[in-house]
Amino acid sequence: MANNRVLVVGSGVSGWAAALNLASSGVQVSLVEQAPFLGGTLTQVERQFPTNRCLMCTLLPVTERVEAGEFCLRRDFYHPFIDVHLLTSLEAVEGGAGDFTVRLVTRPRYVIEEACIACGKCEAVCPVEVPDPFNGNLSKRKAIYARSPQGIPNVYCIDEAACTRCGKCVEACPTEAIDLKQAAKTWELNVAAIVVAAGFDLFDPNNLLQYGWGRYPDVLTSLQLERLLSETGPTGGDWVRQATGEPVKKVAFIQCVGSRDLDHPYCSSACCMIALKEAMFVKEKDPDVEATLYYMDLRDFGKGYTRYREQAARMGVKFVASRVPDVKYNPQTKQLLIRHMDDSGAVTEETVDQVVLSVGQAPSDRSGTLAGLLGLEKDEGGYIVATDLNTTATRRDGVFICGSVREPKDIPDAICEGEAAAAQAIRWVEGPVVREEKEPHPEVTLEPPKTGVFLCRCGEEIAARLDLPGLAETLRRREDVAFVQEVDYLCLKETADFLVKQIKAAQANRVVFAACVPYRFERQFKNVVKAAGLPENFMAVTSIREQVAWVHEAGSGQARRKAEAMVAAAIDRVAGEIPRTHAMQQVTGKVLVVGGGVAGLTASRFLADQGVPVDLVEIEEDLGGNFRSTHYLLGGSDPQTFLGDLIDGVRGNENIRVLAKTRVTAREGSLGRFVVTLETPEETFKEVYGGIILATGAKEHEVTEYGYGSHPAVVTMREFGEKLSDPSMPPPKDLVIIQCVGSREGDHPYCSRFCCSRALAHAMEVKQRWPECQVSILFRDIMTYGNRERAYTEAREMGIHFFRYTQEEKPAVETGEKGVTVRFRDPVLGGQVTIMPDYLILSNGAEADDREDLAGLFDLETTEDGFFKEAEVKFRPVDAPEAGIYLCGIALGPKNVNEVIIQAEAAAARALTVLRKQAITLPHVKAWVSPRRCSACEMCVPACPYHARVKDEDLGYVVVREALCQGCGVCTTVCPNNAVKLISYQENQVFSMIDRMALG
Amino acid sequence: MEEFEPKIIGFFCNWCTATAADLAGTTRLQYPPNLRPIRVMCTGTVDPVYILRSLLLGADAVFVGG
Repeated sequence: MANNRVLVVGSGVSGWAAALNLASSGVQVSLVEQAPFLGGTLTQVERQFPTNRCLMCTLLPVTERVEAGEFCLRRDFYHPFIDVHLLTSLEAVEGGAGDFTVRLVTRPRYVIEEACIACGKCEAVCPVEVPDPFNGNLSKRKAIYARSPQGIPNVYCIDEAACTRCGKCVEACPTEAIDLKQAAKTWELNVAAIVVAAGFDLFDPNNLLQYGWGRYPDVLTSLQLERLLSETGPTGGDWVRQATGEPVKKVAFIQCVGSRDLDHPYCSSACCMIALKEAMFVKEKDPDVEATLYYMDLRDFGKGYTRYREQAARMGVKFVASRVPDVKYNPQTKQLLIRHMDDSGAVTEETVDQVVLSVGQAPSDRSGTLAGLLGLEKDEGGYIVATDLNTTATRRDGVFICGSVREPKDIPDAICEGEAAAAQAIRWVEGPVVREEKEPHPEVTLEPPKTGVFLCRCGEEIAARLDLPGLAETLRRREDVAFVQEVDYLCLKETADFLVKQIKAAQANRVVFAACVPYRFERQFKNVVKAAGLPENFMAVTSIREQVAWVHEAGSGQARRKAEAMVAAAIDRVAGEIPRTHAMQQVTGKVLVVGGGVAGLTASRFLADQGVPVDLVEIEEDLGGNFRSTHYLLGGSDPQTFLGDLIDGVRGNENIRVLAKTRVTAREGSLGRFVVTLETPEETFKEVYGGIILATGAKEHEVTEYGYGSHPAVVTMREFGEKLSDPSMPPPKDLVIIQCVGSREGDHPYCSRFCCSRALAHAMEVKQRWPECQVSILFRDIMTYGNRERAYTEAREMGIHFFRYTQEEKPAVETGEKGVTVRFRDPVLGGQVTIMPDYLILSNGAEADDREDLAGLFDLETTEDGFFKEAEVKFRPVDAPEAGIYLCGIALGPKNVNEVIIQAEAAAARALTVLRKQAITLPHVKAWVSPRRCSACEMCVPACPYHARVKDEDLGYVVVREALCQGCGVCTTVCPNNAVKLISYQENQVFSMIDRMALG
Repeated sequence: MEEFEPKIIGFFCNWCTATAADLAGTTRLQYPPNLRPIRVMCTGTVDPVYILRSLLLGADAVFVGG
């Protein structure tokens, strides 16, 4: 049986990325979540580093936004190809890749989702109060609750464990939505592949009693502080001392709580940055607050993170490299006492008002259960193990893992993995899928607008607070209103037939729904309108519940006039709607990959295996890129065997054409049809592609310091790796490695991310081969995030010496006839150390290549550090700002090879969302240019944030790249000639809305 | 004399401010009804002409939330 369905377990950000990517590729997705609400841990966190903004909505598909819902991702999550099953867990799996039968259990919500109107009457009468875990237990909620004001779905559920079955809520519910007799349901599903994105549990600080969490009111977890700082948090954003209610003057962040210790042999990867962010937020609240981070290594290894740390330092955030052993409480002052040791070993005591424990990402219980029932392996930290080189594949075919279920990580990595897992899962799905053409729009009469208005009473929620009969009477006076009908509950499914009949009977040709929030119901109302034979855009929803009835004084005349103006404006807007036209964009099912390093090779092979023809362009003669000089990796994989296999796989693939010594010199066209000019040594020609992947890599940072070049014993890490790979290398006695050479300072304020791992891999290889050899690593912060931490521990156990140095006091190097002398201060013993090593090895990082040519051709921007900028650093990590162009590898920023591989797969997955289709159906055109009015001044071209505008040289005016247009309307504002029309927001529509609002 | 009650026209971005206005409702946050909301897909679409028209027609202030 053809199976076009994938099961995604877990609806955190990684699961979302996987599900959305699969759905956009035409695959049916069943997304199961064990919680009663969607979104995972991220829903508790409002703003992200390093942007200090939310930007979650950027995760939504670009070419299918209208289908997928055009709303904030904290309020709605919808895609027609994704079935969401809440309170559901995977119980058993049978069969194999391509044909799994999974057994799922859906636990009762006790609230019928479709019937709940989120009025909150049940909550008001519920007598049971329990701590609210959403707010880190800093506030209370009832046994029947809706998760924060932003839960998806925005309906109630009953906390089974807390509920006493008193039945008060059942009586209070106006829509009979509560059913205490609901039972768990076991069901089966046939799927081609399974993606496990089960996330993590926050470390429970009850396991570390020395910090006093739970006993001292002002010892908080980082998540608790996050909630306290949030406007939707337990205190509405008021951040004070929990013990006294006084302002906080001094706050200490203690890092690595539940990470990097004997029981937790991993680094949680994101906590340093979370602490930095929170420290900045408290400084924003009150610049006089003293905020200090006590850390072991400050792991600012992500893109733009070192600059973020510098920004925090400029705001006055302080940093102390010391692990705080415990927290003491002064009952008189209700303050907290912490101790830390400085470099000399002297202990300093600090009194602070609040302590924030940076709790790590612990493996979740359910990941253990899932590993068990799927037959997957776990590591000693408790994470599920992926196959070699850390891709998302597991030892079971057809089962893939992504996100923190396999290793603690930050959002962009979790998203890349989600997308990579989606790409892997697609291999097992029957396909490729071609979307059917959309049903044609209904014929529209050219009769003058006659609008039917439905006023939802929402039981009493609106009706008791707003004079609806009065409102109806006023509206009925309008000639263009066909009818005004009050309805008890517009949202109830059984009302739909009545609505359709009413529209038809009154021969209304436009409809306005004055009701509640559009998130859940707009789709439902669109179906009503369609069933009544009207185009789906001939309707509007206006929120008179959330924006009038619930927020203004009941019965107030002003509020009534506001509601009137809102409904009148909605009537005017739909009156101005014009029938929309479908656009079809043909897709050329071929891809161009630029760059023949690991990233480009991986993406090429991946897409070719899916049947996509690939042109792989490499500027040099040979394939392999920088990775050709990598000989040792942590984890023991042999890099050159891997690379050799990868290159052979590419060369031997009939779907891949390798074009060596080739440049891209021009491009025209856009998503679905890029016309690219390629210049090989023999010829110059044009080729058409549906999508483009740029994987152009970066170069090695050129070392000028520490005596490099003055003595043969001073070598770069790459050079040392080459020497080490030569079996005839004579045994060294003493080696010194200096980390962060040209990284995280001066002109290079970024971490190159791979140097620490590479240094450890080399040092451990030396120690294994020559145990007598002394190896000293001089570092600033060791960046062994995630499971790399284990290698750091192992290295220390092997007797490799680590000495921390600071930017202010760097190691001194002298070279002469006698050799190389390195002098540095030992921060632990305090004395000066002098070593004359056989080799002084400089761990130099990566530097951006100057690729202005490509940036110009593909409308890319570069970061201050010269790397390509993605569409959004957290939520769209491999998309270029222009749709249809994808980025991966170290052209985006330095990273380790497993991350390069995952990014390449993610970029391939993103490209597949286009390449799997023969054509992209555009639900409707959003902006168009009047050729008569356009003077081709091109002001709109750079103004468009989506690269959706281009001057058509043949036509002589600017045209809209329809697939790219998101309908933001910036073009309408910059156009001096009024040549741009924005559908649904044409000038006459907005004018009439303004008029209603100003005059009503 | 009657107390001055300004009339304010608000242009609300669909992605943030309109969502926030709905959120205010969900949390039953009370505020005066003087602000008349117009939801737009992006505040980038708010032409200066829209602001001028609002003021000319008697709005005392214009709020652009995006």
